[in-house]
Amino acid sequence: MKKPTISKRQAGDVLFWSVMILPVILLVATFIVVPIISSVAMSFTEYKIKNILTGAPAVWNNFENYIHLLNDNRMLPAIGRTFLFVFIVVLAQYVFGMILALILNSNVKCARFIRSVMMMPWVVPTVISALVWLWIFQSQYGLFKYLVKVFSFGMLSDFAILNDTRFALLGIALAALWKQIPLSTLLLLAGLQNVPDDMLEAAKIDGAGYFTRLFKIIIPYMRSVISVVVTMAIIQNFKQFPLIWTMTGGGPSNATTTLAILSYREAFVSQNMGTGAAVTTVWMLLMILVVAVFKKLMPSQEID
Amino acid sequence: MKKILSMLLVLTMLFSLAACGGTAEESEAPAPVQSEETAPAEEEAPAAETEADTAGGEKTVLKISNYAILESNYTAFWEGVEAGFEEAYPEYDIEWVTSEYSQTTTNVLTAAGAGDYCDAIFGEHSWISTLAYAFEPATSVLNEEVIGEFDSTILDSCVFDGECYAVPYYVSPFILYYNTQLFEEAGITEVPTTFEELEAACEKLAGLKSPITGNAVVPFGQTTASVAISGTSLTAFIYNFGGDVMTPEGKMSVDNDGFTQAMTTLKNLYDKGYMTENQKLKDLRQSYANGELAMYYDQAWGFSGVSGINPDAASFTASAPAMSGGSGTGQSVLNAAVFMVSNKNGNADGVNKFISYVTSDEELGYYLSDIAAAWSAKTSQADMEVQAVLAGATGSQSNLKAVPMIETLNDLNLELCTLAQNITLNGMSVDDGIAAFKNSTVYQTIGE
Repeated sequence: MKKPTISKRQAGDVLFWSVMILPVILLVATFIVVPIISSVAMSFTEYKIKNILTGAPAVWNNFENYIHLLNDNRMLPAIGRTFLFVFIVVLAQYVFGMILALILNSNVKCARFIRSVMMMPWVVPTVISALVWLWIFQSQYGLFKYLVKVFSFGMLSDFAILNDTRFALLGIALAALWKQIPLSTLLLLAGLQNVPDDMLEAAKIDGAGYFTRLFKIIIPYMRSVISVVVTMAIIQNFKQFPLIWTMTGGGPSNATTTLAILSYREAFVSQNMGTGAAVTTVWMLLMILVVAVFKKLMPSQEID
Repeated sequence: MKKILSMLLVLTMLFSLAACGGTAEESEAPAPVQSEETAPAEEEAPAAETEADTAGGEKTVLKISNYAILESNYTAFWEGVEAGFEEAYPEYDIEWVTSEYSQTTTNVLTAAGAGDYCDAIFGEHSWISTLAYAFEPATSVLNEEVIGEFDSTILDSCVFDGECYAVPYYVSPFILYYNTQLFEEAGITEVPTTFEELEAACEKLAGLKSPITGNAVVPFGQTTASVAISGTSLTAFIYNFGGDVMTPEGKMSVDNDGFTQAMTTLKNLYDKGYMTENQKLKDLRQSYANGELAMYYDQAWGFSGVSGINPDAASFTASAPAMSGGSGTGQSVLNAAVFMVSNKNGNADGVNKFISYVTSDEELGYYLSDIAAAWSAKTSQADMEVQAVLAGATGSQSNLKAVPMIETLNDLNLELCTLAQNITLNGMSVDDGIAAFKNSTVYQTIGE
């Protein structure tokens, strides 16, 4: 059988795209793949700040870091809190983002102005947002406490959301939503504007009501945009650190200690990079799992 | 032709990437002019002749980490130190390495991990164990005549892993600040010296309104929010009762009356509504400056934060030593602002000069009389004038007990905050709270 021959031109093409893709491969390998492998490898060793600064090599410690985490009474609750936080914020972010996008897409007056103003929370640095919300939630004279008192007709006069172990995570979720909804709205709005008007018109003529059009045409048509928005939200909130660290530091009574906080505490407060890396490894695997499950449940192909 | 040009462009980019690399030795030159003499100098004698060659008129850069320069109350002072030092020692340039207070240790460690060492850092006493490996024992960097000027008890409290890693800048124990106007309004004539007297005073103060904002007054403030310094403050609170948290060897030791009494008192004050929970020191300072907090425990220098918020605060503020409870004598933790130093860049001589300069009678004298409320840690400056607001707390600087320096001190401090939050916010009994504390990972790691 005659071997398939590669023409000079084809060989040149292969060489060309290989060289073109090389910088990207190098960048990804250097700044993503190598650190991940290094972090996973570190999670199996005893490796402390001292090792970095004195140049002492890491020592394999027979899964001691993972055993430590299993025995640590903070690990499982931290996983639970991380999932709860991600679930609340992602769901609310999608629902409110979609509602806002639908409103802005409905020829409402001053839509452009509203869209510009709406982006402001997204522009504010996360730590500044956290400090602003700390003031709003201030336990003695915060605005939030006042509003709760007014709307509960004085029945809840002493509600300090960040001081309450049952609601502190919700307080942080509110701050996260304030910051993240604008971008979701903008992306969803862009998706909405790509839904063909003729298809909606045809459905309307056929007698489809607003909600039928929304659930049967608009949302299925936006599937790929929604997939991107939700995936981004899952990742962003899974790794949410500055908001929580600034607002509560993981307290009160560890009520807001998520995997991000636990990882930081292990690595930079306890100065144990090994256990910090072990938390990060578990955290990364869980995040990959969640995103994979979401992708499985929500394939990104659009309707015909 | 287009393909060849594109490939050339890509190769140029690759070459640029490679050129950006290099070893730490090549890229992390500590100073603009470092001669061969400036090899890292663990082996070198203190203040050895390792300075850069300044004969050519070029200056040696001293890299000093200082979070305070970003804080408006202190910026002018530290800029003045920089100008004054560079004028006195023209062969040196100070380069401040700045980052926000809470990020300082992480940033310094990260840079040190990459081979970028600071020559000195201005920081907290509790940072010593965290930063020890990024710096060097002070005794190996500073000359005997420099280090010998500091109070030996305070130097002893800076020992980690058998070596003294810092010299104190000033001593700043936890003391009681109180609002004289509110005390007068409540008819309190004597400042509480025991926790029984505190409770009686709180009863009188509850229900008052702030003369500044009109909001209700909280009688007492003790920080318990989840930050390391709150844990240090809670340790001081336990010391007030004669209690212990650790043995001098750095092992856990909480089965003592003082520890239990301190936690019981804390819970009692919270349950009676005499204090708000989960407050950081800066929250307490804010409330106090607004006249919404009648008294609170703070580090002596914390009053600078109060007067930064309300410049009129000095007119209604006085101080008192820490109160005593149980069989305690009102002892507080030996808390100081410190300088950690290093000769890793071969700048020991410059570091010696800087420490001498910044702790000189002129510089420190100005700092303690005009900038921060605290006491000098030099034996020769025992009578140095301090801010008038500290008059009531005189003697506090000598009724102190050192916290053993252990590697996981910050983590332990955060766990103490969790204990305090559990028995107050979470409503746990003191016994259950202590049991949970003893069951915590940090406690188990440190061991008894």
